[in-house]
Amino acid sequence: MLRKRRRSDQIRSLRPRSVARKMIVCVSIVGHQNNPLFLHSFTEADDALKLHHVVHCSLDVIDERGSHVVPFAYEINNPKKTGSTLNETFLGLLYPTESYKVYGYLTNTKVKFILVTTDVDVRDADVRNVSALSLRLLLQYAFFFRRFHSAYVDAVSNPFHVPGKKINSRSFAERVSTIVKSFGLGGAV
Amino acid sequence: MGGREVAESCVDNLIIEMVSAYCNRFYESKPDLAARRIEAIGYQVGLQLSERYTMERPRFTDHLEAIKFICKDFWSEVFKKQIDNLKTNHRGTFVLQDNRFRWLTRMSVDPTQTNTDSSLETTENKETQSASMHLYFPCGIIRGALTSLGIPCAVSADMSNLPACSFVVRIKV
Repeated sequence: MLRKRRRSDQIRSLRPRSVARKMIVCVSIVGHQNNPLFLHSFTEADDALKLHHVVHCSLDVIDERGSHVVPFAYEINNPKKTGSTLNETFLGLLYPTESYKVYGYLTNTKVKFILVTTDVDVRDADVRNVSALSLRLLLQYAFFFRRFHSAYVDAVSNPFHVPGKKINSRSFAERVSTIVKSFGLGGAV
Repeated sequence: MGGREVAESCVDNLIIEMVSAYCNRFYESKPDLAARRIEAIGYQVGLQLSERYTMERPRFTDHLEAIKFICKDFWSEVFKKQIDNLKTNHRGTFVLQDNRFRWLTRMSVDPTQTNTDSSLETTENKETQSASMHLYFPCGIIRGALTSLGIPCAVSADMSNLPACSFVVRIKV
């Protein structure tokens, strides 16, 4: 019995390496003043600094994509020019780097959710129906972000949380880990 | 995580108790400070609520859209009814009128009192003041919700004829 369990432990410890190709590397939340609220890396390596950098770089792309509420003075002077076509919360792929792909999600309250993955080899996996595959992946990401967002909302609703400060809740970190793990399982690509 | 609810009477009691604690116990001699503290609590609640209630909707493109959201969806989530009347001067001031504001419906300010007697006037002033203390919390909620939607503003309340009450939102340019 003991031996059996050990073997299954071994299998489990091996699995991440084989799935690692399309795995979530890091999730991050950035506040409305571009202040970091949360960053969690899911790699064993000590690469938090690098991931901070990747996340930081994506903020410009989010600024570009997200339609902001236009300054009021501008709105008075140019009543026709306001309003943007893109105001969905899920922003899709922000930019690909050599080893990562970065996806973003921008809420109404200008809080940014950023997801760094390593799904660069998805295209090679199945050349025949790339579009269907990537569409499904995008839907998965959108779903992931929605769950991530609701976890965030619950975390900031904690009366002891100070708005604008980093989220140090352990239960939130656990919930995010669960969401990330279930994403890996559901991601039958 | 849905379905978690709390009885309305509990919320009513909590708010009444909070206002009375700040006005009569913590800052008895400084009503201004008490008002500011109550407003600050409302502000944080507003931040949190707007984060929750805007979850499933696309981002707002202009101020009016955000104000309309406050009047319709936000108000009916918090008070189970919508704002009855919205006025604006198109220059950054909005007046949100609620003809039957839920948190004031059980408030009694004696309307029969005449203002001729000076002693009566002071008691009435006191009553009006304590009623207006109850409005700092919802003012803070509105300010918090709008601020988190990217609209810094100042909110004040007016309750000349109870239980109707209007909130004046001035957007900071």
